Amino acid sequence: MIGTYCRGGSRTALMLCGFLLGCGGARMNASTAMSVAPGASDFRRGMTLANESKWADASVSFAGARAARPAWQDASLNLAISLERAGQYEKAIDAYREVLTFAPDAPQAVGNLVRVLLEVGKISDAAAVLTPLVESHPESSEFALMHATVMRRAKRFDEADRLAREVLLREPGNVEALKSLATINADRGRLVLAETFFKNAQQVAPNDAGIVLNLGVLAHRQGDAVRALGFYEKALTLAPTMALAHANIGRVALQYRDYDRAIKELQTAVSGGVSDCETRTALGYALEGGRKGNEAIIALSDVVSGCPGTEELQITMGLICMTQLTNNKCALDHFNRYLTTHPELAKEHKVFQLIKAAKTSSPVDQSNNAGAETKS
Amino acid sequence: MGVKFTRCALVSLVVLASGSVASAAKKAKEEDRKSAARFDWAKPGAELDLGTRAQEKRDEAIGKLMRLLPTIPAGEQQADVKFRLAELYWAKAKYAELAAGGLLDKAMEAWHQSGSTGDAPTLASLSLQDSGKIFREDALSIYRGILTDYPRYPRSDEVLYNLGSALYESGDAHQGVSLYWKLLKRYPESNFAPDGWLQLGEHFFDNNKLPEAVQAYSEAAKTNRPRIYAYALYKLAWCDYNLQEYESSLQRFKRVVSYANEQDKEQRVGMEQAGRMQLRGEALRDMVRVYAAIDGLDEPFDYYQAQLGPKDAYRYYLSLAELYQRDGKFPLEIKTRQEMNKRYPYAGSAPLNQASIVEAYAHLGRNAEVRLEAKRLVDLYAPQGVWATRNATNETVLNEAFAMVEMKMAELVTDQHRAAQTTKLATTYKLARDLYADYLKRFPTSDNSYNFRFFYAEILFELKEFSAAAEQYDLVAALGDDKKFAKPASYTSILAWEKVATGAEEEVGSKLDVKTAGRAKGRLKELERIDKLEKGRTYASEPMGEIEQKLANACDIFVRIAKEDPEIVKVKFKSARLYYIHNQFEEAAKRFGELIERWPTDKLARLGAEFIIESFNVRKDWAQLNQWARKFREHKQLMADATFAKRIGEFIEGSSFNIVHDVAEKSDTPLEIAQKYTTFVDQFPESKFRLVALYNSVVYFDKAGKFGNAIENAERSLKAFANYKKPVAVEGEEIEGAKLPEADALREPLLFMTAGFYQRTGGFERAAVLYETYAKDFPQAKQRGDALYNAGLYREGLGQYAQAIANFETYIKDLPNQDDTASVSWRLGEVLARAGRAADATAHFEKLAQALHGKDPGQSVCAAHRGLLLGRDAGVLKDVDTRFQGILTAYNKLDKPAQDKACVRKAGAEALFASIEGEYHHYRSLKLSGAEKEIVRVLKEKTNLIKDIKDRYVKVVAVGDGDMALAGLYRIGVLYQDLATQIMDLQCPDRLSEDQCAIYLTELQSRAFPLEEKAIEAFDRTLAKGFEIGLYNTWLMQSQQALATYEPARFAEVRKFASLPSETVSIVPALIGGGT
Repeated sequence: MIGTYCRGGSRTALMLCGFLLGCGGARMNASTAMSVAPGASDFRRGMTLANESKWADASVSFAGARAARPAWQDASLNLAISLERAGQYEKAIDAYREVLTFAPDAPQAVGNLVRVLLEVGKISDAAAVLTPLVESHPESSEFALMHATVMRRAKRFDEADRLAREVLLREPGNVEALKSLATINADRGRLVLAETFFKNAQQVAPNDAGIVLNLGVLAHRQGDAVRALGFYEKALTLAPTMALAHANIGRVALQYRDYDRAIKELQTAVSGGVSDCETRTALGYALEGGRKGNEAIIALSDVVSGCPGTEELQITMGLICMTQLTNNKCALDHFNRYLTTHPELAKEHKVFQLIKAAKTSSPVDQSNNAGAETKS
Repeated sequence: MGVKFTRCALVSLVVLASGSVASAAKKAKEEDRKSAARFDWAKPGAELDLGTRAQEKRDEAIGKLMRLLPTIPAGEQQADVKFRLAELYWAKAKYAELAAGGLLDKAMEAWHQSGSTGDAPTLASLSLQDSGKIFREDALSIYRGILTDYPRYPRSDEVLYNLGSALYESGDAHQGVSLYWKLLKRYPESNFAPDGWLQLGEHFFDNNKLPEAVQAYSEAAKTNRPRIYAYALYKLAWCDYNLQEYESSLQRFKRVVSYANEQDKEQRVGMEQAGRMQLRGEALRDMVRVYAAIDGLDEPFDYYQAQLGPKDAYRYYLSLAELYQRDGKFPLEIKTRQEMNKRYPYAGSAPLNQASIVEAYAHLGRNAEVRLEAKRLVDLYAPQGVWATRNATNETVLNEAFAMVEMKMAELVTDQHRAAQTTKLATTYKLARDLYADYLKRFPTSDNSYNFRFFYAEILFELKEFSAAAEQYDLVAALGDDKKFAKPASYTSILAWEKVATGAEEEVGSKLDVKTAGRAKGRLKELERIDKLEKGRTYASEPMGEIEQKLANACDIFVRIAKEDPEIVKVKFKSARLYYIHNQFEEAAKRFGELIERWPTDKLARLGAEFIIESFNVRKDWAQLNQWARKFREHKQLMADATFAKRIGEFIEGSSFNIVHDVAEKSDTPLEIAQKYTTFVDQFPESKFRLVALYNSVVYFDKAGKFGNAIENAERSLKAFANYKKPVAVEGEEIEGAKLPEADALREPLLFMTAGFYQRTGGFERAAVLYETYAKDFPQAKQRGDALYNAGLYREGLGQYAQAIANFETYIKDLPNQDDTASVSWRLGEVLARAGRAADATAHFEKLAQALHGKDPGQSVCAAHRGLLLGRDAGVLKDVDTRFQGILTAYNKLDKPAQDKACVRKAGAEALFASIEGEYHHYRSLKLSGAEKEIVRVLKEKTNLIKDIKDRYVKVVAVGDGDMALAGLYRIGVLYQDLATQIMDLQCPDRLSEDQCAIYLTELQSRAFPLEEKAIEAFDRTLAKGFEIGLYNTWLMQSQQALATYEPARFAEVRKFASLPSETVSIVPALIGGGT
């Protein structure tokens, strides 16, 4: 469980604490980190850049630090985190795999890798990581629940259900298991049951912001945005820094085109660690809706560079160039990038029309898009 | 210096004692002689030199004389030579005899050393007697020749004496005496006459012719030759003694002493000092006999003290005491020894004296004195006594004394014990008892102590002093299991303790009726009854009385020592019984258990088994009961009894259950308890307790948070109900398990509980089944409502709407008056709707609204509203407006608090909104088209309507329902937008010129723009309000769409992203500081 590894003063304990959010006392201040050790300056620079949310640059620095001292676990971990935050998931996966070699059985280390594999849709890879661990650690709730999450994402609900229930049978008060089962049921469309689980979990952990948030997720799935927002806001009262709540509020706000709020919440979420492709895409859309064209393009470009299957965002960015930045060259650049990734497209495709429009400097009729609903 | 009677020391003492005994025996022999001592110096020629050198000289002299003899003419000179030859031959004969004697001694020694096999050597066998005999014959022949051949030989008196002596010594006493008489008759004045008298005296004395001896000695004593005189006087004293003329004898002995003293003092010639001292010593010693004969007490002490001084006198006192002892003059012996010990309290032989005193008293049968003196003996002379302290520097004396005291005491004790056995007198036994006690007190670790302690115990037993006897028996038994008295001691200890335990005092008569059978086997008291323990009573362990404890210990010791004794079973049982009746059941069980272990077929073993079981059962000591019962089950012999075997089986089962139920439940963790119950069921799958055990295991697994186990056992339990039959109670009988709860009393909570486990662990389908079973099988159960609701809820969650509906309907039907019946009913309506039964849902909500109308008007409004919406949306209602009107009417009738309820407010707002729909749609339907007049009329009408409708929407906003507030604001915007749009869309009338038309259109725009502004304002307000309060709904979206008509780029595409659930794995960790 979280926190278990925060105790003690061993090096391993410190390292593991680093995987966690909110492990007070175990984390070191970057300025007090080693000064003369090989790679120290790179490490410090990486920390500084990371503080400025310059994750890609930070990852370069951490890579330097790690190269200077290959066995430096902190540098490896920070590199992986930076790559993930920068949206460079494939590299992040490699980096997390390397971190895992330092602590192959540490649930947090496994969790990091699994998360990124899921993020890029490599569900079977995630399962491959977890299956042997679940077998070798049959009593580990963490591994079982991670495995349940993977199975849920793979829509193998029965297996996910079994894994989570096994944890619950062993540890009836395991909130994560209850949440997992609720989420599984929610994914199966059994919203009443999902809600029941969340309420059960709340009885065990009444101040668990995650449960409240998940109730909001349920409400959102049921189309009750107002109720969902109520839960997310309540979650934030319980855990004011809960990035996920900000992310969800931002998502709902974006859906209802409350752009200012969406931008604010999604930025908070991303800087708070919810940096999955969807959330960053949502932020890009929010910036677009808020008519912050340049920022939107930067955000969406980041998504495209790290998230497989998001090339379509090039079209969005092209349109932003045309409509908000009145920069057709920029627009053409994005449209063409899209075409390079989809050379098979037929001439009738919208992108060819857009390219033509950009080339002729014709104004783009945004009204065609206004009010249309698309699901990402 | 302390002396310990160790075995080695004792061996040494024995050796020393042996030496002492040998020396004492020699002394005793001297003392025992009936006649006076013989003195070699008393005979003439006794001073023969018998050395080898002298023999050679003699041979040389004989050679010379034999050569000389033929040369000497017959006559006196020739007689002298022959006389000299006779003397030499006599001396040679003596030498030869002495040499033969020496050789014989050596041969005897060799014969002994070679194992004394064959005939013992003799002078004859060694051919040694001949030379002496020859020389003797030679001497006698020469002497005879002289008397015959030389009748006037002047030394004929001497020849007669020598010949007489030689013949007497050769065994021819008659010839010897005859020659002595011839000498005395022929030569009465001869120098050899006193010698002759003396020899005659000796002859008569030795032949007990005392008067003749007295005469002869008296004649001899007439001489003035000191040697003859002293000896004759000495012998006369002896004659007097033998003639019992003790006074005379005493005086003569004293005279011998005084004469010797005088001779010694005057240094007279005629008797050498050694001879004088020897005679004096003999007289002093022999005088003791006389004192003894005359019962002398004070005089001898004074006399010897005066003659010899205190140191040298001591041995004569001792001799006197020993003579008294020998002669059985015990009082005199006692007095003598007491006087001695008084005068010489720290003398080496003082302990011996005291021991002899004890013995003497014992001989006299004076038991009191024996006890007293024996006590003195051990007090004064035992290792720690005063005497020992004074003699601490003399280890030898100490050791000898201690050994002697111990030996004396041992002898005394033994003698007294023997005497007691012979006489059977109680007093004698008591004396022996006391002596044993004294002995054992002083010599607790001596070699004899072991035997004596046992004998002591035996005497105590015979004297019916059972407690003391038992203590001693126990001590004997404690000295070693393998020792010879261990077994009888341990057994008799039991008998003795039993006697003591009865408390009855037994008297002994003057004579004991000693029967060894009294302590023989088979005399153990009969086994006493053991009362059956009563259930419900408390049996606190109570300490045994001291005696009982000792009896129990004695039993245990016997069992240990006499492992194969036939009485052991009985003894073991007795021991166990003692513990049992004092409620020391564990100890009792241990002993009963051993009984069963070793003699399982014995009836006492079976009885013991019963007691063990009973004791633990009654006291509910389930652990012990279980342990023992299981042990018994392993015994084939015990289990041969089918009834007993059945009972044991029941006890094992029952106690196994109770160990968990009564014991573990109070001390163990819930998980441990649950596991123990499970183990019980595994072990006793057919037990009558199995359901309770399973049930309890479920409860405790639940407490331990082990739902998996709880579910497993709960399912086992639910299956087990099928073939469970509770034991039927029978009045007046104790039927095991009859008090168990009825099956349904367990099944009811178990079903509910199990459903709860499934519910909490996501097994909703099974939970629903169990809740439904519960509700069906237990129609009166208190939690039936919860079961039905939960079942309905989970069926609903699983999409099993038909079953959900059935459960909710049952709930409402069977529990119409529950507090939550209305909410359940509401839920039913929702499920009906979700199940696609909109009409039914609508009807249900209507019905619910009616039901709530009187009870909860606000909720009634909500129900009506919900039904209306469902029916409207499903298109199953035709009278929507009427129904809204009804809701509005009902809403308006509600008081303010009721109206403030969210669902009521929403219903009221929506009803109010609905009530505007007719006018709104009418307004929207009014088109500015047609003829100018018509346009003007419509415009006027719309203008009039817009204010009214707007005001009514404002009222909707004012109701306070967020959704409907946005709807109202949006509709206001639409009102203005509609009018502005229609105005803007108006065409120029044909009658107007182009310029006029331009003016006309400009005028229209100027009228429309404010309306547009109002529309935009209304839409913006909708957005602002919606965004402000996060009220994202369809009206908001419609407002955005409306605004997009004025500002197309204001809103981008609608982007929908599902919310992210909270999962640990989805959180990206923070960077870490870089600790190395």
